[in-house]
Amino acid sequence: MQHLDRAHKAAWTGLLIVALLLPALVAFDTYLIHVAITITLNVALATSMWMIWSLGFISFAHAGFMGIGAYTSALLLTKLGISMWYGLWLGALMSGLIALIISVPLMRTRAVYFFMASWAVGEVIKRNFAYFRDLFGGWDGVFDINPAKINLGFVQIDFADRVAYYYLSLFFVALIVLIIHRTNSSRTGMMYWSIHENELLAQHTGVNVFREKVIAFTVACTLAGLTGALYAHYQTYISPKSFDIWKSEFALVHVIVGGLTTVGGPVAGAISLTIVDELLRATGYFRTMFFGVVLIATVILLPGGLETIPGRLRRLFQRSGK
Amino acid sequence: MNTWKSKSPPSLITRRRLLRTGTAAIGGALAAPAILPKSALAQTMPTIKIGGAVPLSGPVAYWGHSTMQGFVDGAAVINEAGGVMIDGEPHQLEVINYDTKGEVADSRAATLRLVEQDEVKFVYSQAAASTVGMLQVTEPANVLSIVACWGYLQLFGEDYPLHFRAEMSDYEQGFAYIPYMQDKYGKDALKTAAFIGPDDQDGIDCHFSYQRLMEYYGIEQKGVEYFNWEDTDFYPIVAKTIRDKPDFIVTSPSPPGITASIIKAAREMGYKGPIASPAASETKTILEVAGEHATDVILPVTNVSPSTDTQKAIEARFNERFGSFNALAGNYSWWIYSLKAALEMAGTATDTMAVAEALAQVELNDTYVGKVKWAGENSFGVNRQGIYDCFTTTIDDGVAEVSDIRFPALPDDY
Amino acid sequence: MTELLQMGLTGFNLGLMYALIAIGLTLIFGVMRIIQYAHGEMFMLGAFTLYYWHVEFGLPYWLGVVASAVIIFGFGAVLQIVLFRPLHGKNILYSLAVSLGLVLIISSTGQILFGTTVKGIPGPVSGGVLMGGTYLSYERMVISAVSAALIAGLWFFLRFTVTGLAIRAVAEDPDTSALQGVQTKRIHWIAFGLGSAMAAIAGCMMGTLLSIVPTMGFLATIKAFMIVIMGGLGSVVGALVGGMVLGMIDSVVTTTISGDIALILSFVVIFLVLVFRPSGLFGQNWD
Repeated sequence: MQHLDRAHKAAWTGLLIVALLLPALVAFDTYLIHVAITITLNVALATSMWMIWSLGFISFAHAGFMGIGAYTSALLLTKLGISMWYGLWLGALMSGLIALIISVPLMRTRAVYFFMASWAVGEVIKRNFAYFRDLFGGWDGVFDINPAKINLGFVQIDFADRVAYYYLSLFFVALIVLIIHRTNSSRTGMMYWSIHENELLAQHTGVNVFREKVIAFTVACTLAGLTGALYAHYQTYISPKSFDIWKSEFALVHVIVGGLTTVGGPVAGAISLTIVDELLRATGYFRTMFFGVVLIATVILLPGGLETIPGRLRRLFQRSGK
Repeated sequence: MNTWKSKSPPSLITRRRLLRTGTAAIGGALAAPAILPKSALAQTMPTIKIGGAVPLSGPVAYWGHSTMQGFVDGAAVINEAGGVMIDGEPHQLEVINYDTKGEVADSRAATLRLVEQDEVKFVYSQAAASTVGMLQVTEPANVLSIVACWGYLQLFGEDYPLHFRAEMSDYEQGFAYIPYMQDKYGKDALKTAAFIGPDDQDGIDCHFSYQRLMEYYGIEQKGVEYFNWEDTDFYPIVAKTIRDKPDFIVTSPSPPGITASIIKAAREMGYKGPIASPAASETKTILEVAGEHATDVILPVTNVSPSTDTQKAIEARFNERFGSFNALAGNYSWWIYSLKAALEMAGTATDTMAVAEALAQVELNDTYVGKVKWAGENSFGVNRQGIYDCFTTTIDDGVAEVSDIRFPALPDDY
Repeated sequence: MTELLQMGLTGFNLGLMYALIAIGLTLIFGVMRIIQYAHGEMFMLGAFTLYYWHVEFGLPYWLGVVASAVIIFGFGAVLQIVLFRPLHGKNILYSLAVSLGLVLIISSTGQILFGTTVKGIPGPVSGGVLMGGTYLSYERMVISAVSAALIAGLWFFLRFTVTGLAIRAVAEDPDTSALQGVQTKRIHWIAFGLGSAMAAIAGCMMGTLLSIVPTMGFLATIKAFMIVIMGGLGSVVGALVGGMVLGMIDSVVTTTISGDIALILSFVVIFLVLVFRPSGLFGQNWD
């Protein structure tokens, strides 16, 4: 077990180093840095969705909560002039607060019904952005959600610069993944998985299932809200359509293709599928179709997802070694 | 082929047509990446790249393909004829297309790729969402954009000097089809109107155009209804609209299928007035869906029967190259010729501002949509809106035909 | 009064069609416990089969509906055997991902094969009567009758035939029914094919009434899920009631207030139903 932990640590450190050096690795090609930012945001969304999954359910309201974070931060900036540094946190908080309120009735439903009820929640959130035109700008969306500048005295950083924004979003994404990873490997994480395995049994061994569910959902939605705020300040434009059901669906697909049992799964899934989607862009007609083929092929041919690849390689290696 | 009249017996050629369309589509798409590497000719000649960030997959792919076809076909024609002459030197045109799925963020990404990786100076796009995404990239990067976009007027005009809107919106079309309707039905028969549009920004923007038009022509406005894209049945929305008994209904921008459903519902519930739809150019669809109910339908900018040599040539070429042709693709086919004229007039392919200024002056006389020019100086401060002959098709008693061709009678302050 | 009647009729008609789509989905879930996201694509393929049969090849309409049902039954059965059977008994998310992939593949292949233009299928009957301001369209009457007959037919099939009873037995308890000699694998593809065929017929009906595009499946999936969730997964009666509720909301609220309110309201209703009856109106408690 010890050497496994070491291998994991090495893998994560390696990933972090690559991520830190990435702008230099792609020779500061601004477009590839854009792709990298998209990847970080997708990783954050998929990982926080996976956190909910560790309790055994899937939330399709995730894009909606991402939207709450995005809209909060965007409106604070465009209507009140409050900069992104506050907007990021307030957006996350707002998203968490609404998640807390919603989750109390929502947690009455279970399994597939939760999945569908959360989808209704997500859809209502999106529709509200469109319906209250004066407040949220309706379908028109919100423009000019500029990122902030920072003055460190000796140097001034403008986050409209893509490399700067990349490091900003990398920082937050690393933070999100770290939070989820630490929670997952703690005693709380074990409680989550015990709920995942058998809710009734967990209840009887003294886990307050309802409370844990509400807390986990709220935390995950807070992180989704943070992701949303980051998304808004990067895109500088948001509309209700930015947070529709496909956003949740793709996050789910990232989780499934990556793997369901470790936090490495959604990270691997989001990174690889975002790259695949980008590579397919020039195929026009065939883009959506190829993406579907990749998705089905991974699920059928690689049960357990990308996260099982190291284990498979190791087994292959050991077998041929003997 | 997309005209309503399939005079040849349908069962004879359909299977072959189906096969041909399929193979052409697959072949075309497989050949699409082949556009990317420079062709043999291009190696000897300097190349001007034109980038498309258009929806090629997803629900709005129809519009994306129609736009792309005009550029792919036009570039081939221009290259064959010797290319674009800049300072006496011929340049080849190269068209690069990326899919946007019709989403804002995706369109921004596609445009970034065009501008930053492919170093394209001229881009085109289709529909509001892709345009919004594109504009955030192109203007700061000094890239010229030509789009079809009806709404988001705050993103148009003096602040966006490199941004051209080639397709006439429902507003400009109105100065052709409303006078025509007044000729046809008489002014007294068209005193009140109602509006039906989709519940999104396009619908809201089109309602704004409609409001301005109705005020200009002194027509009283009755109900305004928005449908959801999720809606399947249009009985409820139409029932609500015709309750106020408007003299005619404008539905915009409703795609052909929805327009047809609206017409069918209205006629079934006994509504007799004319229905105008400035976005539904597929007469065949409307006839198939609405059947005998398709009557008193007004479809502006829809040329279902190409008549001039240029129009016939475009139809033939598109059929050969893409396996099909529709009036919408015809409407978009002049953009690239206009750009070519501007490049030659400006004498540069790098100074986009000079090209933009030249483009605003370009007038073409023989395109698929007849006479074309750029206008809008008095209302937007710059001539960036394409205006052209409006071919209005009408459907009466199940027969579709081009009933009117007129250049929009724009008000003086336009 | 006439307006009320018109709203009621429209809602009734819509509700029946919605129910027809949803019943196939509920059947598939009940038997296999998979979320068939590509159900709407079966709906779309069914409509296009009829389109090519009736419009392009000029063959008789009703035979086309039957042909469409048979073809999509076969297609569904093949999909079940090739893609979903290997995933049986595994995490529900895997089958969800596969069906999501199918949505992407089928709808974009549809765009390539059928073209992106909107098409329409001329109906077998036309006309109607205007009764005191309320319009009774013959087409809608026929479609309602077909939908109602199919729903009733399925209900009887599930109750009074051997295969139908076997399907219900597998839905109730797959292990016990396997012990009793039910070939569960066979039941799986039959149920999947049957559910898909129902969607295909619904597609034919809806395509006749409205218009068809290769991307229309997604909307049908959304409607079907809303209904199935409200009525309870696996319940035929639930799908019927859910369909009616949704059809009535669509019709009445859109006519009296507006379309966006109708949509928001239907989601709120679903949410409330689930909060107060966590397994839907008529559903069993699945885990």
